[in-house]
Amino acid sequence: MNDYLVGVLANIGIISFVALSAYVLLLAGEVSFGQQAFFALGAYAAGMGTAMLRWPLAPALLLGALVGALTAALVGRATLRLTGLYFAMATLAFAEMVRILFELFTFQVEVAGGLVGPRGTDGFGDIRYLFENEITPAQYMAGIWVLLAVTLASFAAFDRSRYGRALRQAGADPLLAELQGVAVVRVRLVAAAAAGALAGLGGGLYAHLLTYVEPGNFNIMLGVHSLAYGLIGGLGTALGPVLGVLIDIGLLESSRLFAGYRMIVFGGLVAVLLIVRPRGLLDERAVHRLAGFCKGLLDAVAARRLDRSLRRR
Amino acid sequence: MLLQLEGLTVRFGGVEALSAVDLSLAPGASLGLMGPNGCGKTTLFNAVSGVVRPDGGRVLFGERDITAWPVHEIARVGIARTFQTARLFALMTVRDNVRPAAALAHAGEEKANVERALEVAGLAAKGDTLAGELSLGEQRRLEIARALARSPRLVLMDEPTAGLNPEETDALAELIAAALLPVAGLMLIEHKPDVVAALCPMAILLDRGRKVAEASPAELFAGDAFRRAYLGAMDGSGGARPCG
Repeated sequence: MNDYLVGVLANIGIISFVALSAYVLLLAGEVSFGQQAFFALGAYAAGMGTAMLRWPLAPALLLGALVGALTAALVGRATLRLTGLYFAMATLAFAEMVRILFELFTFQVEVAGGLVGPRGTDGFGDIRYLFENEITPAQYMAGIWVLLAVTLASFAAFDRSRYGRALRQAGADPLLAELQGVAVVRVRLVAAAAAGALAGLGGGLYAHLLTYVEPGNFNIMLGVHSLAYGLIGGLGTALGPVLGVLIDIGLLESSRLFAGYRMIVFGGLVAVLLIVRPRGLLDERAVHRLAGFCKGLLDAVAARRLDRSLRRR
Repeated sequence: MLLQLEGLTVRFGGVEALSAVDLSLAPGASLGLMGPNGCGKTTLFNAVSGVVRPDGGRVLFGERDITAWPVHEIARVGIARTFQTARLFALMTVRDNVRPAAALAHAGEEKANVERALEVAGLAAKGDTLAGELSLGEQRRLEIARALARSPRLVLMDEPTAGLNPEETDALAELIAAALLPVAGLMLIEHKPDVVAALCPMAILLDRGRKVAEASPAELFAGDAFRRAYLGAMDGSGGARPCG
């Protein structure tokens, strides 16, 4: 596999985490333009974990996810009673606040004779864990996709659980959900924390892939894209936002199919889909039809096997 | 008493939607709520289910004062509610619409109770259909299945037969009588006198937020208060208002 393809796949995997983060909030009925803030917090926290504290990668990534979750829970506590435009504005304001704070944040320590750590607008470099531990880009990319696969499998199990149903119900009709006994504000708070953890994990992976991050990496465009991925790919399954990332990064960006017109095509795609399929390609109806089709297929296979075994007897 | 309202008052700005309403409902009893549009029937349901917070008075459920409780906690003590326009999770299957309610009442027996509720409501064959794809009559049945699945102690039904044709109305009334009345208390908002008479031995009449009469449905329909509430005063002392 060539380096370019490895880089693209790693990027798709990482951005999928922040797309899933925005997707969780969309399921909860909230539109967030600020998930890039938790991605940034995860990137800086995990980077500090390996580069400054000399931690192994796994606990550093965990630290990134934890910082994302805790901050999101705190922000959620203050903002989740807001709805619609007000919540969206609050998340955007928070994300810009975080980005500007990182522009002002300088904290360096001496490691192996040199200064390492965030340096305001100059960013945070020397996050060299992968090089120091001889992890190849292909190995790292494989690790990212294993993490993503585990996350998607967890989503599939979650979707079928009562908590998954409660989250979708809270998003679809908060009053009706409350009347079914769902504590909507609590559900949304947990969703916000989980979304923060996903973005934080993605941020940690991102910092280690690039070895260098700066506040400018975490601007509003990342937040808008994260949101758009779910709306393009679909809200019926966690595969939806990943499909959105694949369409944007895998098809439009990496193939250079539309070169300088990529953002126009991407924006147009979002606009068209919002009109014709407001809940994305893999929306609830599509997922329901697909599930019915698969069930029918499995039933037919089982019936044929039974028939064959009966004939043999 | 299963439910007791003591001086229940709800104001929206300068408008008093409910004025010191008192009523009580014994366990397993059913009570009709009648009155023209805007008289406070739905506001009363909203106050009991926690959707609006009363400005005065108390809501007692059993021994508990649930007046200031959040909606989900009121739901958990056994009060189920249906709406004037069927309110469902349209993008979820019929079965998934019923499951949370069943989980509320029967930890560990959720699946069996979901199937039982669907069977009783005549929706067993529709379990995997998206709720948004049901006909209006089926959506009403789904609301009843959802109420049944949680083994409620009280069901608040807001015009369950609105929009249904006469055959569907009769079938739904029969379903309520056969499936809900034996297991739970019922408060029913309904404009169709036949339905109220069939399901409720007693009914109250609300007019401009006040309880103006309480009697059997037959007595209520024959009384002056009913005529006044729906048609306005006929002696020229007050203008007629549109009836519901």
